[in-house]
Amino acid sequence: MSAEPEELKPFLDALARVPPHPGRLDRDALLFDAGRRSAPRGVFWPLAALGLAVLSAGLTVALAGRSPGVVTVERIVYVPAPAPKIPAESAAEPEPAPAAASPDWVEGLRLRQRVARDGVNALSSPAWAAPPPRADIPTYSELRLNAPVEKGELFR
Amino acid sequence: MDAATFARLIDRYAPALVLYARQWCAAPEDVVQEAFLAVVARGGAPEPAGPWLFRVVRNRAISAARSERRRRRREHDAAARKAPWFYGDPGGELDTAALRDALAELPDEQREAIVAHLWGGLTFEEVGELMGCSTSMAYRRYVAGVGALRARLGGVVCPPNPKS
Repeated sequence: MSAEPEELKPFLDALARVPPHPGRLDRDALLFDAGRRSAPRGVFWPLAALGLAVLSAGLTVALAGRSPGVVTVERIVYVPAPAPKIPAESAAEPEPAPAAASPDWVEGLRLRQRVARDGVNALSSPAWAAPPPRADIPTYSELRLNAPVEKGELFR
Repeated sequence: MDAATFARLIDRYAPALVLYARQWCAAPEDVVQEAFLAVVARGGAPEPAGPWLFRVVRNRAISAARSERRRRRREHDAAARKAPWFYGDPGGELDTAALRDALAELPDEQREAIVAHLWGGLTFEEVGELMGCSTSMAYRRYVAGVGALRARLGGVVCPPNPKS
């Protein structure tokens, strides 16, 4: 069926020698586009976008299906607190007693209380005895405080 | 498909495909470009590539023509008249402007058969499959179209070039 009429052969040869015009078709731009489209595409970003889309859809469903009965409301409540117990003798705190109070310490304490109450008159009876006089030390009476002093006596 | 093979495919079929798509739509270059990008998307053209490319361009051009017809038919006609269909050949035997006008006035099925066979290189069997008719019907359309063209160009056909 490829045989063509002989009477049309010269005309067909003339037609075939007229090349069609490609118009605005840009061969280089077409090759560039083809190369860009044939480049292998990574799978990371499509998979990441898919995963995030699934995640956001799940969160949306979870948020929409959450029960509205559970509502958290913050309120400030004042509760009266019991007053702290203050012991009666706390104003005058006793001095801490020594673990083992000696008799001298007790006697001293009593003496201090008497002096505080009655003054120094409470000390009428001395608590200590004077030592016996010593022979090598002159007494007041033996001292000649008002006797005239001879010249040069002081410098002996 | 490597770049060299793809470039050869463009050089071989792109001009004929643009001429083929002109009878339907105002932007045949876009249709042809999409067809070649479809080759890339599918990882290569089937063998033989010519009939497959013509079929893709035909489907896309008709689809584009439906969209265009709704919005700007007059602009399509003006653009079709302005765009060059053939390379000018001062030493050639045919007046390309007259050839364009004569080709545009042919019935669609005759013009389609002529472009697909004469410039596209498809066999009559492939042209028949492309147009959805038998091989003999494609041949008859082709012969009738060429006869009509010759009759229309009778007065403008240059005498044979003695150098050729």
